[in-house]
Amino acid sequence: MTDDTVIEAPPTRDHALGHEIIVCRDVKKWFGDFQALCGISTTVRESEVVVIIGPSGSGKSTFLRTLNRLEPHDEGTIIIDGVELNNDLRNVEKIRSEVGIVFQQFNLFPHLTIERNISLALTHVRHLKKSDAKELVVSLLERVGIPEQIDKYPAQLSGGQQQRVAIARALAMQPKIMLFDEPTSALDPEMIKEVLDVMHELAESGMTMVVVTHEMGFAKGVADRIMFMDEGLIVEQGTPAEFFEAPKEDRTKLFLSQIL
Amino acid sequence: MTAQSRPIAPALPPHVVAYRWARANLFSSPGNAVLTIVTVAILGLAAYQGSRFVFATAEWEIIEANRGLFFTGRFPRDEFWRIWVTLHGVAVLFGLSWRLWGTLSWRLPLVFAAACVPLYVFMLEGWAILWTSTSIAAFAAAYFAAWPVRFSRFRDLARNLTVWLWILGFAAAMLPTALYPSFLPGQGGLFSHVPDREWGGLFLTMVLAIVGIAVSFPLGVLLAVGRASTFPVIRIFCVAYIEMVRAVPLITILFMSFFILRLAIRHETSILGIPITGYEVSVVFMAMLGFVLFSAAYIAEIVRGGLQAVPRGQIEAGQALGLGGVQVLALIVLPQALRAVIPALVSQFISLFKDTSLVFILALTDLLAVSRIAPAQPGFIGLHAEALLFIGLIYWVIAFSMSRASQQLERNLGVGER
Ligand SMILES: Nc1ncnc2c1ncn2[C@@H]1O[C@H](COP(=O)(O)OP(=O)(O)O)[C@@H](O)[C@H]1O
Ligand SMILES: [Mg+2]
Repeated sequence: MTDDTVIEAPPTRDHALGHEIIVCRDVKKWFGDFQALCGISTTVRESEVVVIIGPSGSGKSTFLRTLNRLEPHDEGTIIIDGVELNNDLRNVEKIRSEVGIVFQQFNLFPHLTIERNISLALTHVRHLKKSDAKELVVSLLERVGIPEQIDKYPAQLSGGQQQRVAIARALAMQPKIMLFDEPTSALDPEMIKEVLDVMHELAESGMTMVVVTHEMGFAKGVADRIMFMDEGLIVEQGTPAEFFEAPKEDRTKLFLSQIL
Repeated sequence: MTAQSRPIAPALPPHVVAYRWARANLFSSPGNAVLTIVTVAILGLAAYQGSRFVFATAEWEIIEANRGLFFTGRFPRDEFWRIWVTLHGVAVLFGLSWRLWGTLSWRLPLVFAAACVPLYVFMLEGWAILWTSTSIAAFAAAYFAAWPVRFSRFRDLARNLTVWLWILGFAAAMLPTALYPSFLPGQGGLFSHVPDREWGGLFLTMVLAIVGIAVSFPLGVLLAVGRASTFPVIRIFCVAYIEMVRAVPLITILFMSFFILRLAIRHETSILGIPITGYEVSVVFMAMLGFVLFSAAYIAEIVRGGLQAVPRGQIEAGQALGLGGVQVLALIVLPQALRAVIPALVSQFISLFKDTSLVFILALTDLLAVSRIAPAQPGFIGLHAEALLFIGLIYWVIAFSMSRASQQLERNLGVGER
């Protein structure tokens, strides 16, 4: 979506950024001979909202997915909340329960009701009692605005509703970090806003978020930092004002001219 | 409603409708008319001959006189109570399950019961009438006992309990067969031993089919999962097993389990003084083993197809929530994979059910074998048609019920999908 509103001031958020919760140093990743990530170094502070943009195939999803080890990285270090991501299974499990992810295709479990979609990890990972889990599910669905859908199956919901359930499902684990991989790209235009509103509210509440999106309005209005990726590298990053008003790199300018 | 704006066609009298339909569908051209007449003539003749046989010329005494043979083979009459006890247990468990899960409608058992009427006609006699009634009563009692539990907070507990009862009951029923007769007390007493050669008829067919299905299904699922495993040793073993079994005819596997495995188990060997083999194993058990080993390979291939149909994103979503590998498999992948292949699975089960008739090569007298023995008895010589028709009906009723049940299951589980 192209949103040309001029930004008057850097987005104000009623919280200060905390300690460094994600630290990446020279992260590299190969798929066979093809190098998808060519040395990513960045840090994300607690409560920060980072929006990643970039052309298709630039490694945005791959980078996001290395952060909860859906893709293991080949070189470099990733430290999430003080725990290094490596082959140690306990670390992976600890980090996965602290990092929620929302996918482009929702990936709800079609054979389970909305309630079970959200409570599955609560009962099987957090070992909550069913009644406690249900209470939590109800409050989460209220938070994303669809408490009445609790007994339905995913296929009975609209795309926007499904994506909101997916957000609720990730939030159920009470993660410290939320990752979003193009959460609105598979949605019909009229449903995009309801999902962005939920994300906006989440950012306001102080959640640390890394968001891959093409929604420039969201990037300008909510992000603390925009990160532009191309060919497996971070080409440029900065506050939305710096980034959109005065891009430094030619590749950034070219990309912005194509999408805005 | 647009009915007002359109001229309402007067309803045609039925005979006119029928006439028009026949003209359009049966007599639209001279060739078509000839075809219709010839077909009707052949069908009519077949129906006439068929019903004349069933209702007039057939000598159904062969079934009546041999009902013991047809239903239980040479199982000693004094020991019939064992079968009835088992049947009551099954009835109770069915009643509980029906109420506790209850996704199948009542139409199915009614159709099944109606189809069974010709069987009852031959089966019900003396004590059998009483036992059949008490079985049905046991089913109903269990169903209504579980009635209030369905929507109470004890439902999950009751469901778990029922599953365990099924498993334990199954094991308890199997144990004597598997351990035959090494660990059983000798003749006499409550658990005197019924030689497996005396098992037969519908009873044997059902035992073989139920055990074959109930054991080969989980085994097949394990093989399919193993085939998709990332551990090379497990994967190679599963692939080798599946491909080997699928390359061999069932009859060969039955022969092998009978002539090679059974003799190997009978041959005494021991490691450090602990006897490893040297047991007498029943023929029925070896036949079960053959069916299980054979069917598992086919089920594995069916399930593999289902596993491949589950999108990668489902697994990732599970992993991202912190679920472990086994949890992702059991809670997310398998339920979806199995649902997708219900029709193919049930086809495989029906095949297995019918394939049990191959045990005649091990000299067991299953339903099919009985239909060959009965018409060889003095007094019933040559009454093959009656015997075959009767067992054909039994096979059909059971196979058809399985097929219908699978369709219902598919519909009910399909709730919310797509
Ligand atoms: N599982 C995979 N196997 C092989 N190549 C992959 C795989 N996943 C991604 N890639 C490749 O890595 C590159 C980056 O992909 P991705 O991170 O999905 O890009 P983006 O999300 O920015 O569009 C692409 O060229 C893609 O083809
Ligand atoms: Mg992507």
